[in-house]
Amino acid sequence: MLTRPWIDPRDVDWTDPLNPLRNPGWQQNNNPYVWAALKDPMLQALRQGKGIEPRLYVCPDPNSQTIPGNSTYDYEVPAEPNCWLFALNASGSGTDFLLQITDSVTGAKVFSQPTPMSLINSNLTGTSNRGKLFFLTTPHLFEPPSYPVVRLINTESTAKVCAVNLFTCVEYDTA
Amino acid sequence: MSSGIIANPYNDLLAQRHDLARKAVRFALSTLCDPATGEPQPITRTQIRQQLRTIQINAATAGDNIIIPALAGVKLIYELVLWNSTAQTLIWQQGFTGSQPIQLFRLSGFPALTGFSLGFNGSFEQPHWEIDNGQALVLVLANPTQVDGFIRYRVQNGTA
Repeated sequence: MLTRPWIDPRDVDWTDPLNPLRNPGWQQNNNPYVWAALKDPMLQALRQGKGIEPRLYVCPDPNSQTIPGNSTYDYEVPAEPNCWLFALNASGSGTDFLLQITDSVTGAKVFSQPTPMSLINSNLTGTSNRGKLFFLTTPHLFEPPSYPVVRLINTESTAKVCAVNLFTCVEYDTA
Repeated sequence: MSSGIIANPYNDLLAQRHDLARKAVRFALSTLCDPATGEPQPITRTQIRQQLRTIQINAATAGDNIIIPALAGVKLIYELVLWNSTAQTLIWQQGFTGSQPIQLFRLSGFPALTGFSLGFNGSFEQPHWEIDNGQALVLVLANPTQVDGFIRYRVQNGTA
């Protein structure tokens, strides 16, 4: 114990164990993938705000739906109002799909162009069948009446399954 | 805040983002500014028409032929005219063969000395195709034979 540096308990954010700025164990080297996202003020606000509930959307519905070869499929996510998208992951039988998420009202896109599913496929980039999340650097708010539109592009010639999970939370209207 | 909920500064932070997002919703159509007030305003049909570009299709290479290069911005295709000299399969796609192209339109066994057109449908909101930011529009020919035509398109930068 004496070899460990003493940490002043007043420096620790006891209300938020995921706060990398105020919890000394959370150095950037420990988990470089989510460190930037977890220290983002908006994600901290979502963790600690009141009236926040998680909503996980599995796209498309049903998630076993196949997408024909060389075709584009748009899924309008039935999100509740005040939906914040903070992370996502994907899986599927296709070796590589392309994925885009668009704000239905503003047209804002999460990716500048459709991104390969392999980049956010937890089976390929992490331990198989484990729920690895790919965090956005800052969560995206879908201001009512907006909702996310998930575009899946099957670049293969045969029909494939591609499932995308959106990790969101909704904010009850506290005004 | 309603009286039943204890004030929480983090909710104020979220509310600030809501205010910003509402502005973004209101001015979603354009980043252009009204010269009088400095406020963003929607792009007009005249401005869109002035932004239209025409590019010639002059392809005779088997495989990928770049029709619109990989420009920055979204390329909106409004009009296409095509003339095929020898029977072959034509494929329109976004991106290059072998690097995850998005196939837009496949004309299997397209006959010789035959034309094809996608006319302007009257709405700048509904282009035939949208080519993503930084991606090229590519015409894939089965044979090294001549294909002619032209495309009318517009490059959309940002939200303009």
